[in-house]
Amino acid sequence: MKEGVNEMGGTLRSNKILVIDDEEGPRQSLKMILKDDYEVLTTDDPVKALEIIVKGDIDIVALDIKMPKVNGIEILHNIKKTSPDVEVFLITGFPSVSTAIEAIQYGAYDYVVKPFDRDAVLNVVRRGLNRRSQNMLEKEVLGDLRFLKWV
Amino acid sequence: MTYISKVLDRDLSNEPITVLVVDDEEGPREALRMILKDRCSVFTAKDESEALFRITESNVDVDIVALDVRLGEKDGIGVLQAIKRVAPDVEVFLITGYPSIDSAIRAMRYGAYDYIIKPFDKHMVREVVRKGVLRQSQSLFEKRERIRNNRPKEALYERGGK
Repeated sequence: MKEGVNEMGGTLRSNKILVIDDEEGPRQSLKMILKDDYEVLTTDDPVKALEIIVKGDIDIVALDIKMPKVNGIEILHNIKKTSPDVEVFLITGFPSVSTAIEAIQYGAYDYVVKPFDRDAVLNVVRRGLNRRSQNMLEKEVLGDLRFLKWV
Repeated sequence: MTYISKVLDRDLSNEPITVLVVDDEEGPREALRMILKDRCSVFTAKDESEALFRITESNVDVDIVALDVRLGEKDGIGVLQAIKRVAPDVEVFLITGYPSIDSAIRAMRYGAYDYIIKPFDKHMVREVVRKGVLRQSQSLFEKRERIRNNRPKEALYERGGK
């Protein structure tokens, strides 16, 4: 993972990606694709995943739809309820119209099919980070505009 | 109404919900009008330019857009992108007679909040519109809260606040 340095000489925080998949293969393969540019955490345990997300600094979640004990769509729903600013994309080996529709309904921003294409994954993550910073910027700008109106 | 004044001043609870149906075929446009007309103001458009005119240049604030995935030869997802560019707070759901993974994924990527399949079930349509209105109100509420949290104390006193 690359560590950036800002203009003031401080260290920039790397973006953090959390991969939730019950299978080791996809977890490792996403880690290999992303680790040069981002800090990558992986887990096969959805409960632990929610704890990590609630603590704070996760930017993007890659979430498997089909896991043995729990439905990925339910996890997506919980993540968006507790941490709406975290961007989530779904990963699946068995794409279907119905899961893609559920993904839209519960607020995922993309849907990636296994086996992974390196460039496609990097693009999806970049898009998620852009979307996240745009949302945050929009909120900041609205705050500043109101402030300026009063000054 | 400017974007900032819309975020700050619009009282959604006292305004009728306005739905714009964008479909190149008359059948689905009228079917949705019939389903929604008791509870919403419903406008229709048959193509991108009519839709964008209604959203940006008419005096009506459109809340929800029901958008066909295929508008004749044109791709509805391109219209979705255009709508989100000019009016990011308008909530859009896609309608289609030919669901596909590709169009569902592209709908998700460009910010649609739902995707429903023709022929329409009236309860489902009403539920989807209700969900869009909730989502829009929630988003405006969050933005207002953010603005309030950034509000300097002096400004509050100037406005007579405590």
